[in-house]
This record gives sequence, structure tokens and C-alpha cells, in this order.
Amino acid sequence: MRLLATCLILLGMVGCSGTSPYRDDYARHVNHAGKAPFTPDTFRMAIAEAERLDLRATYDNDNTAGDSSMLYQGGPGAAGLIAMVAQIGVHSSLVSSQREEKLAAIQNAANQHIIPLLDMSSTMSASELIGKEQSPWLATAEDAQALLVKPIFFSSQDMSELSLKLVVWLPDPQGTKKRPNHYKNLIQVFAEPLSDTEREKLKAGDKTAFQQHLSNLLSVGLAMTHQATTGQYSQGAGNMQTYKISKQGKFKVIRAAEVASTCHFTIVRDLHKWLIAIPKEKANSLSPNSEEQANHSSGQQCHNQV
Amino acid sequence: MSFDSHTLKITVITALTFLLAACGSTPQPTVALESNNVGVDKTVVFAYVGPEDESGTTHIYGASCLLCYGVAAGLTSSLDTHLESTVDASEMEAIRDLVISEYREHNSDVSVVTLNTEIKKLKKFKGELGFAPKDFRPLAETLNADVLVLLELTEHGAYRSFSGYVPNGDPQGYVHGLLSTIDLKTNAYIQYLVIDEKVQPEGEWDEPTTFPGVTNAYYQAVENVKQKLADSI
Repeated sequence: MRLLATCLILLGMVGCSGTSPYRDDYARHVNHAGKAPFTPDTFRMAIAEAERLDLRATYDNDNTAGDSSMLYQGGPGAAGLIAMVAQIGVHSSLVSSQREEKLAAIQNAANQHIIPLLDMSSTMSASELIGKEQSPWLATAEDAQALLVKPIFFSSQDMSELSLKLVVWLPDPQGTKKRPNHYKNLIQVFAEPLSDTEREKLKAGDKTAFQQHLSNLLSVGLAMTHQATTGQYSQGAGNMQTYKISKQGKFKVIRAAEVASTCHFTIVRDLHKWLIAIPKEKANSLSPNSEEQANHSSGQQCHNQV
Repeated sequence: MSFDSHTLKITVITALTFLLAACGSTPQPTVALESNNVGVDKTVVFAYVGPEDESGTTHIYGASCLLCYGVAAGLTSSLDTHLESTVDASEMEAIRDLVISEYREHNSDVSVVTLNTEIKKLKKFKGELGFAPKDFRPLAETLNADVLVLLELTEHGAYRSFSGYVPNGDPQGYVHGLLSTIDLKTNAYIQYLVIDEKVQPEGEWDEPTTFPGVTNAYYQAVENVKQKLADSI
């Protein structure tokens, strides 16, 4: 019995290091009510950490630690077994710590490539990016409950691709530590790759252009959040397909089913039940200036249809 | 003949050095395809060897003792159950079809054959780097071909690395295999490409019962393999 208990502890300790390092740009989908948490009339939201703007460079997220073989010292009897369990625990913590450090180091190294954008973002706030269409959704002191929204913007290391993750959650006032939220999900928006002209503008520190790109992303993300939390996307499993998104010469694969289509985006629900906006191919080519105007103006029209 | 202890030491050390040097033999490097070697003037056949287990599973590496492997298998059992029930051979077959169609871009007469002999049962071939370690030359007659394109997909599903009892990282989407194209006259490689694709899941991996992160990483690995093959043929 004692041996069995020891083995269970051993398994538990090893299991602890089997979990992924914590990342705040990730959300496990939950919807305890099993229905949309808002109606279009009751939908209210609040931006978490609205006074700052969170921008990060994308990177290859492989945080697997190197081989760290360890010779466990055993001994006779229960004491030896317990000593070995303790050593496995220490080994497990070491590996876990190595993985956290590797992830932080990769993120820091990636951020070095987008310093011009980080410089601009340091003087911006998430709240100033909210468009006119979404402003009425902001919660006031009178609103009983509001969806919390945390926007995290991403740029590829060559500053040619921008994207947005919105972690959205509705806290449960009576919730427990294990079940703190009524609803939680992740909304993701990928923008079309920037043209060379647009990219050069950003590299040169054109804050207005940068702000407009981020604002367009946020508008689409918030419109999707509204649609998702008011039950306007079909809930069916749908037909799973493999979607590809350009990612710095490579591509990112998303296994998902389409739930909506707008003039600029295909909206899909992936295996995590995250909602993701994938840009459609441009229907026709335009000159850089008129392209920006077209994107902006038609984007505004499309946001309500997302 | 008698050995003093010094001579014995030297002999043992020399023998060990040779043994270790032999173990560290140079692996076969990638051989890039030159399309004129598989052109219409050649009879090219294609053979596919799929994974032993058609459904995907978790492939455990580094759990180097029996108990370690037991612990590792216990940690990945629910992921195994998921992969075995949702990941079938269809993506491997899609990779196979892609290789056939890419080769047919160079030679529209490429035909698909089934090997009647297991590759491991073929005789050894003592060649240098650039030659297959098994002797494929007898297949020239049985298959009536000049060139054999052989796609072996051996493992698919998830890959997880351990240091003894302790996992080094998350399970990753995984496809492993080998594309080798062999000149059946000389047994030389016309193309040699190791397929070893591992993709880290995005964020948290341990989400039973559907494991969306690992499942998506598997499909990313499959698409990466397709892209690499398309680029190399």
C-alpha cells in the first residue's frame, strides 16, 4: 500500500512537469451556461489593461528542453524509494524551469526584431484604438456585468504581418478557483500581409498608419466577439478543413470549420473552439494609397457584418 | 604469447576506440533530385510503405528504462486514445498521392507498384554513402523498371521527448519517414530525403479528451511535410 502511494506521488510529480508553461495569450474555451452569455442588447465589454498596448513579436514556440539525464541515487527500503522520488521531483522542477526560461528568452530575442513598432506602441493605449462602432459596447458603472477583453497584438519579425489575439472572459461572481468564469474564449484576427510601402512606413515610425492597422484589427476582433457572445455564429461542428495562413514565407495551419464569411474575412471555429478571422485574397489590385483607403473604408462597412 | 598489463590496456583502449568510431558512422546526407534521372527515357515505378499502425499514436523517446517507459506511456495514454480514434491513414495517403503527382510532373508514365518483398528482408548492399544499404537491384527485373521511388512513412501522430521519467516538453505533432529514389542498375540514391517533422502545439497541450493543440500540430506537421516534398521533387 505504501509502495503504491509512493508510486502515485511519483507519477503526480512527473505529471506536474508535463504541463505546458503558462502563457497569457492562450485561453481554454469554456461556456458553462451552454448558451450565448449576452443578447445583442445586453452586450457590454470592458478592456483589460486598457491604458497600455501589448505588442509582441511572433516566434517559433518550441520550448522543449534539452536532454537532462540524471542518475537517481536509490537506497534500500522505503527511505531509498522516498529519496529517489524526491530526486525525480527536483529533476522535474529543473526541466520545467528550463522550459520557462527558454520561452522567455525566445520572446525577448524575437522582440528585438520589432523595436520600431515597440517604440510606437509604448506611447499608445488599447482604449484609443476602439472604433466608433464598438464604443457603445463599452460598459459603464451601471452595467451589471461586462465581458472582459484583453487584446494582444503580434507582429512577425520582419514586420510584414500583423495579427491580434483577444482573450475574452465573463467572470462568475460565485465562481470557484477551478471555475472562475461563466465564459472564456480566444478570438484571433490575421491581417493580410502588409505591402512593402506599408511596411516601410511602419519601420520609419509612422504612428498614424500603425495605429490605423491596429485599430482595424481590433474592430474586426471586437465585432467577432460581439457576434460570438450573442449567439450569432452557428454552433454546429461543421465540416473540418485545413486552412493555411502565410507566416513569414512559411504557413500556419488551422484545422477549423467555417462559421461565417464577410467581404474581407472567412471566420472559422478551430479545434479549440476559438474563432479566427482569416483574410480572403484581394479581389483586385489597387495602388498602395487607394488600397489603404479602400481597406479602411470597406473595412468599416464590413465590421458590422463580421 | 604473453601480454603484460600495459599492452593489454593499450589493446583494450584501441579496440574500444575502433568500436565507438564504427558506431558513429556518417549518416547518409540528403541527395537532391535531378529531374533528368527520372525523365521519360526511364521506367520509373513508385512504391509506398505506410506506418505499421495506420492510426496515429504517441511516439515516446528518451524514456530509457522499463519503468520510465511505463510512466511515460501512462502520461500519454489519454492522448493515445484520442489519436487512435481520430487520426487515421488518410493524411499519409494524401502525402503518398502528392509524391506520385509530383514525380508525374517529371515523368507522366510513373506507375504505382506493390513490393512483394519486405525491404528489411532484402540483401545488404556494401556501398559507400550515396548508395542504399539494401540491395534493390534484383527489383529491376521483377518490377521491370529503371528507377524505384520509395516512400516509407513509419510514424505519425505525436512525438514526446523524455529524460528518464521526466518529459522534456509537450507532445508535438509528428510525421516521420523517408523518401528514397534508387537507380535499380547501380543501387545509388537519385533522391534521399529524411522526413522528420515535429511541430510544437500552440499554448496548452493537455486538454483531454480532444487535445485540440496537439491535433492541430499534427495537421501542421502533415502540411509542412507536403510542402517540403513538393519543394524537393
